Formats: sequence, C-alpha cells, structure tokens
Amino acid sequence: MIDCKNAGEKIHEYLDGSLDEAARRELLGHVEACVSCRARLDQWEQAVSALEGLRPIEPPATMLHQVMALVQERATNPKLVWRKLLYRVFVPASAALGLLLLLLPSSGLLHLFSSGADTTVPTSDVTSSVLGESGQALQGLANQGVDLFDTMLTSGAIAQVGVVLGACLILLAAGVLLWHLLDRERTRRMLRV
Amino acid sequence: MVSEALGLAGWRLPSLALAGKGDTPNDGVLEPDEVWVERARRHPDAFAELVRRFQSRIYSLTYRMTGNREDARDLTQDAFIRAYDGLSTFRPNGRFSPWLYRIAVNLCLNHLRRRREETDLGEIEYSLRSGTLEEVVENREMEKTVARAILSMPTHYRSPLLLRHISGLSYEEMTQVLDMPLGTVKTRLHRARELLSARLRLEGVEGIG
Repeated sequence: MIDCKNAGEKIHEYLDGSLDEAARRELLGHVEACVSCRARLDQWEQAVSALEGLRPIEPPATMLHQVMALVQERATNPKLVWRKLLYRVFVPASAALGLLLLLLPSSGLLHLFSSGADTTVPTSDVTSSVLGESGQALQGLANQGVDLFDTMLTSGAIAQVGVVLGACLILLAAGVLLWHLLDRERTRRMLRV
Repeated sequence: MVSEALGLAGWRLPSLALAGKGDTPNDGVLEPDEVWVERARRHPDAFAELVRRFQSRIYSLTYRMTGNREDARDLTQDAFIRAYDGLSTFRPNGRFSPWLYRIAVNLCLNHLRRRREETDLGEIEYSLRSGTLEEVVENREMEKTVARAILSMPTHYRSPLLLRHISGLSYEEMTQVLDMPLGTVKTRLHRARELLSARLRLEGVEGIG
C-alpha cells in the first residue's frame, strides 16, 4: 500500500522506468488523490526533463588532433617508453630477482652458520610423513640449493654477484622512491590508471 | 596503405580523418569499443577511433561538471591520455566506456576539489537551438538556469545526476564509474534530483519540460 512516506521512493523508480505495471498503477492512483505527491512527481519530472533537455556541448574541433598528438608523443618518446618499462618490467623483475636471491641461498646460509655439520639438509621423519612425496621433492630442491651455494662460495662468485645485485636493487629502490616523492600523482597514474 | 597492413579495414589514419568528426565511426559498422582497445594496445593510431567515439560525451560531462570550457577541454584531454597510458592495465573482460567515464569523473572531482568548488557561473556556454528568436532566447535562459543549478550542487550529487541524465548511463554502469554500491548510487541520484528540482523552483522556473 502506498502512502506519502514511501511514495517518494516509488516516484523515483517511476522516473527511472523501473516500476512494474501494477506498482505503476498503484502509484498513479495515489498521486491522483494526493496533492502533495502530485506536486512532487511534477516537479521532479520537470527537473529531469530540463536536465535531459540540455544539448550536448561539442568539444573543440581540434580535440582529436590534440589528443592523438599527445598519444603519438607518448608512444614514441623514448623517455616515456623507458618510464613504462621501468614500472612494468624492471621493477617487478627486480623484485622477483631479489626474492629469488633471498630464497635460494637461505638454505645454504643456514648451512654456512652450522659449519662442519652435514652438508645436506637432513630429512626428518616428520617432514616425510607430513608432506609425503612433495615434501621429499622440496627437500631435494633445498639440497640442490645447498650444492649450488657451496660451488659459488668456493669460487667467491656469490659475494661479487650479491654485492653488485644488492647495490643495483638499492639504487633502483632509491631512484623509484625519489621519483615517486617528486611527483606522487604521476606514480599513481602509472600504477593505477 | 598502412591501415590495411595493420588490419584496420574501414578505418583511416587519424591524419586523414581528424577534422569535424562526430561520435560515430566513418563507415557505419560499429565494432565494440573493446576491439579498438585491443588494436590501440598494439597500434597507438587506433586510439583515434576511441577518441572519436567518446570525445563529445566526455566533453559534455566534464563541461557540465566544471561549467568552464577551458577546464572541460583540459580534463577531456587528460582523461583520454590517462586512458591511453592505462590501456595495458585494462581488464580484457571489462567494458571500456565505464572505465573511461570513471577516469573522467575522478579527474573532475580532483580538479573541483583543488579549485574548491569555485565554479565560474558567469561563463556558461549554451548550444543554440533552432526556432524563433524568442524561443532561442527563452531556451538559452532556461539552459543557463539549469546549468547554474547543476553547478551549485555538491559534487557528490552532481556526478551521479550528470552520469544518469546527461551521459545516459545505467545504474550498473554508474556503480562501476562511481565505485559505490547500487543503494548508495540510487540514494544520491534521488537526492540530487530533489535538490535540482528545489533549486530550479528557487530560480523561479515553472512549468519546465
């Protein structure tokens, strides 16, 4: 049953064209009998038709030219292409590499601190029983990591590679942070839009 | 011909087809916007078709949001450039138009926030309608009043009102553009209509429509 309290919502639904036939008839019946609801319907309907009666304003004739000139500039400007690469390729790739560097030698580092101990990661019964075959596979991978680390440690390569990559990552992070601080809006635009 | 080489049948390079184009493509075959998004990802020139399709709609929206022609031009340009920059992040199953409207609305809201709602009510432009001189003058006055009433509304009411009644978006599209639940969108739109109606009555507009 429609009364003046809930008629407002129904009038809006009527203006949206979302009322079914029965609800529409019920609303119009109420509106016929109620002066204040009739006035509301008329006024809101008039406001909507005045708004929709506004003609679209045409953009300047040069709009397409100007936008496409900027698009071309962005597509070909090496500076902008480089920025895109930096954010979309280089940064994620560095992050992935950094993560890998952390994960790969971690098992080996454990081994380094327990010098003189067994060079393989011990297979515990608990691991085997809980994780089964996949646990053993992981164990195998960890042992491979230890072997790789041993080889690199012997040749002294890991220290050099680690220092170089660490320095690169720190420089990259500092650069991105600085660039972000200089223009946060630009960073947001690059990352979100 | 480069466009043929790019597989862009029925589409001309922007340098040959820029001036005076409306929102419809030149050959009447309307491919989905998302097809052009895919093309524009590979060939920046193809973005021209999306600009051609949406420039009037986005310009109308930004103009009605700001009430200023210069701002509307800058915001429209910015919206397209940001859309172009973000093409790689555009979801393959998403729809282009709500996404573009969302960029445009957010730009307008940021701009108005920066400008602290100082909308220039003096510089309102009106499109001419055909008819007698009296009708034209009357319509201009009416449009002026309506435009002023829109600009005097808070932006959180202005944007749903314009998206619905100027841009013609559905409620579903509006939820995507405004990033709000359906209930909130409806409540704001309804309140905005009531507010507009009240302001028009204050301006002495009777018997409109």
